[in-house]
Amino acid sequence: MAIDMEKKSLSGTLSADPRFRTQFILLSRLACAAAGSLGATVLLGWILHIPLLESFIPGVVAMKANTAIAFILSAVSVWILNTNPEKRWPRSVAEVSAIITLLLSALTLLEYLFTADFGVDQLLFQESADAFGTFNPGRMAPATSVNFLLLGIALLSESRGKRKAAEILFSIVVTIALVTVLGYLFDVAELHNLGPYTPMAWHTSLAFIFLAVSFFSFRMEFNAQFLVGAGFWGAFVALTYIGIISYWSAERQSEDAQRVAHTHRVIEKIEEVLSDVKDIETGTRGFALTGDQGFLDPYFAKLNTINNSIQDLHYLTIDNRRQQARIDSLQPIVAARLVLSSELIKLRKEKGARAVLGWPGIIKGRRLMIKIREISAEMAEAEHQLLTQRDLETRQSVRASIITIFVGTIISLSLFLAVFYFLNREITERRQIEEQIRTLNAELEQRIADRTEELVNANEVLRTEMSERERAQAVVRESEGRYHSLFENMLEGYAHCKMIYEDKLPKDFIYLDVNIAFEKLTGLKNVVGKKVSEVIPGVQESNPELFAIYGRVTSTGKPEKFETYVEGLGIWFSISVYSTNPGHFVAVFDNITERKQAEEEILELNVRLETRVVERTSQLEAVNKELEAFSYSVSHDLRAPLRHIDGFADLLTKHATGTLDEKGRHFLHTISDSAKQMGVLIDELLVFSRMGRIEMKTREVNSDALVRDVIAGLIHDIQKRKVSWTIGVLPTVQADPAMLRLVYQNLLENAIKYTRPRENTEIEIGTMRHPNENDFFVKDNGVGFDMQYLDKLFGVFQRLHRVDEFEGTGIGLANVRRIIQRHGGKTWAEGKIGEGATFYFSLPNHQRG
Amino acid sequence: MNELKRILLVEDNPKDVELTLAALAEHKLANEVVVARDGAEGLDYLYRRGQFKLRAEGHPAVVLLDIKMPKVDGMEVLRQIKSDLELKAVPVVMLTSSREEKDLIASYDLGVNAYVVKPVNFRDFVDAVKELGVFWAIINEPPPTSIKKM
Repeated sequence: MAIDMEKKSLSGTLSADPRFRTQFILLSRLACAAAGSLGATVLLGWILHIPLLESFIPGVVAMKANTAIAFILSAVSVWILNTNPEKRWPRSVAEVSAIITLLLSALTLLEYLFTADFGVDQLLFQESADAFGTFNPGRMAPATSVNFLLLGIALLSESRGKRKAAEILFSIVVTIALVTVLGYLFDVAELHNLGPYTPMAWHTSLAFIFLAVSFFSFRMEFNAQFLVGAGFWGAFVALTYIGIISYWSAERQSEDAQRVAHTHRVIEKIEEVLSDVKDIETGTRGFALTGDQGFLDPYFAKLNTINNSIQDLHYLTIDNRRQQARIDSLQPIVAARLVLSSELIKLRKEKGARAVLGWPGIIKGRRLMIKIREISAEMAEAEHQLLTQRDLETRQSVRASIITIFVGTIISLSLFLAVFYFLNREITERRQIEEQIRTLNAELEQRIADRTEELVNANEVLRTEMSERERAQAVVRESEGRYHSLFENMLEGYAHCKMIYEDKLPKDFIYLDVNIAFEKLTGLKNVVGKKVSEVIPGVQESNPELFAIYGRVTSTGKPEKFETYVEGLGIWFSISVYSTNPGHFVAVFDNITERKQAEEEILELNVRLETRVVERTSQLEAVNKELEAFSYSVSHDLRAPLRHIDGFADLLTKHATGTLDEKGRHFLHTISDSAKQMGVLIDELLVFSRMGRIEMKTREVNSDALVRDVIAGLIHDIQKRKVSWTIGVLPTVQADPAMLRLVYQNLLENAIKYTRPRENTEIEIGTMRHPNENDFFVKDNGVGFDMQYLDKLFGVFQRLHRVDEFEGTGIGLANVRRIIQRHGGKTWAEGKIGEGATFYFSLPNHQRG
Repeated sequence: MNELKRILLVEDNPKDVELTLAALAEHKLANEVVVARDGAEGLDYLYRRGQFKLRAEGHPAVVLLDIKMPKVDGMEVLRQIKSDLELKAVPVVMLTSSREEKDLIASYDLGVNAYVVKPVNFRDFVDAVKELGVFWAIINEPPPTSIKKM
């Protein structure tokens, strides 16, 4: 993550600044449009014959029609290539435009090379032969055609993806155009006017610059490479320009020096001519005065040279018409003077010294001489003026050169400085990046070292694990050995089988492996590889459940255990099945025939037992019914005679009141009492019998409330006695409420009854809880009982007291025992004569059980 | 309504009949007590057939019915009375020795008007019979169809 971020920031300094991207694209479009419309405007000028549109500034060379067309085509091509089209056809348009431009320029160049005319120049428009600065009418300048040739190649290269070549070619084009523009700016004709050819028009060079600006600004990138390239190119242009200017300046200076020398020579020659004339005059005059022949020597000498001098002068000033004119006017005057000299010499020779005096030719000669002097002075003056002017011009051009060189040097120096700055910054950045990379590398190496260490550690762990695994494998092998011995020695049969399906239903299986016990238990031999249907014929029909269960276990993978009887073998099996892998199962089994036989015997016995139970039950039911009938008859028939005895005894008592004595009345009373007594006994016996027979309606009974209710019902029995009750917290129990009420009623009635002799009666009712049952007790401080008669206590009609001591029939506790027994509980008692008794009963805790 | 009402006593045991009549006599319930000696006779009386063919029309003020009787027992008599549209309004009191629950339940199921267990104590029996006679023969207002002039 950290490395990625670093990389991003590094590349960020080198890539284009997106903020200026749109501005540069706009600039590119504008420049391209400017170049195209420049060409279009000029072409319009040619079509409409408006010279101003052709040259823009009157009196300068016009842009040729071909040039204008080439600019329109080039602008179209640049525009299309700038949009970087995806489709094929726009690219084709760009390339066709470039090719036409290229052909046009190539043909023009060939015309220049072979000084021929292929008719391309005036193909569309005619240009007059005397058009300004034009040597070949309608033909574009050589520099222009070179530029278009380069431009055409550049555009084709760009279209074919050769960006580098395109950039270099565009750089050359713009260099040529820039030099031309600078030539126009600094008025250095040599820069745009190469010999006797048409120069590149100023707006042509501008249009080239526009195209280059469009091309480069679209591809502008603020990376170091581009900036350094541009800087070096700028410096190169500046230096080239400086070089050209320097050369031109030096050339011009040497030319000027020659001109000065030439002027001096001209002046010299003028003075020579003048001196010659003077020498001739002086010689002539000396001879005329003296007649001395010696004076005539210079005359003859100069007479030969003077014409040569004048001829020289003429030749020297051949490029100056005025001087030539002067020389032309000087020549006859000099000739006339020479004629006068020769006439004088002749006169002296012929007429002597006297004749000379007063000769009119002398005055005439003097006048001619003055004229010669004047013309010579004029000529010298003109030459001096020319020299002064030339000096001035030279000085000016030298100053311009110096300024140009100075400015150019500053520009190129600035560019170099800028390039140096950029390179330096770039190098610094690169060094920083390298430093960062080194740091990152170091970190990476550290990380690699760490990771290597981790791997080494992991390897160590792995090796430990492997050795552990080897140990574990040894253990596994050992365990396998043990399991194998188990497999061979176990008493259960083992069979590994493969299920066979028919119509996706388990129909058969093949034994793959069996242990020794298999043979012993089944009696089957050599079963491995065989189908069960072959080994036990008919098993599919007799034991379909075998296949159903095995199939289920094989498909679900859930182990099962079952028992089955295989008829074909006559053996009962207990089988555990599990699935090892899909389609396979393992059956572990045991022969349980003996056990099954025993079980069957038990089952048979059970059935017999049940039959007997049913028999016995029906017998018991019959007995019960008999008993019921018996008790019914007791209830109905036994009581009737008793009633009759009592009734008739009563009637007799009334009837014989007068005749019966006291004894007779006593007997009748006793008969009546006995009958009543027997009625009570019968009634209680019936209740006791019913307790054993009636249906129990068990529900939750709140013992506490029940006890308090029973006590409330006994209140009138103890109205005149002091009884202190202690009632513990009694739980809720599961019981028949009416029966349980009877239990408490009997026990409490007994407690009250047998405490009658006590002044202070104490009765306690409490409970003792046990996990599975609750014990309840009723304790009194009554007369108690002898523990040796304990077994009689709960018997029917069993009493430990006489009726005259404590009334009662002896059925109460028998009822208690019967009720508690029916609830599944027990009854018992503790007591001691004279020290009270405690009666217990227990009820099973059904809620917990 | 000042007419005396007849009581039908269906009882097979002559001793019981005697004691019952004695008890009623003791309380001077002068009503005519008709005694049927078993269930069949009791039904004959109610339906005016057999020996009672010629008896006067009208139903008894109350039927005192013993349960355990030869031939037709008390339960059957009760069933027939209570299933007869004309007779079912006649009050029937079970007067029996049995205090068996099943007899009680069966009697009330059949629509008995009262169920009295004959006590062994004769004085108690006299009191019970007296109260029965007073209530049913004197206090209770019988349905309109029960008694007509004999």
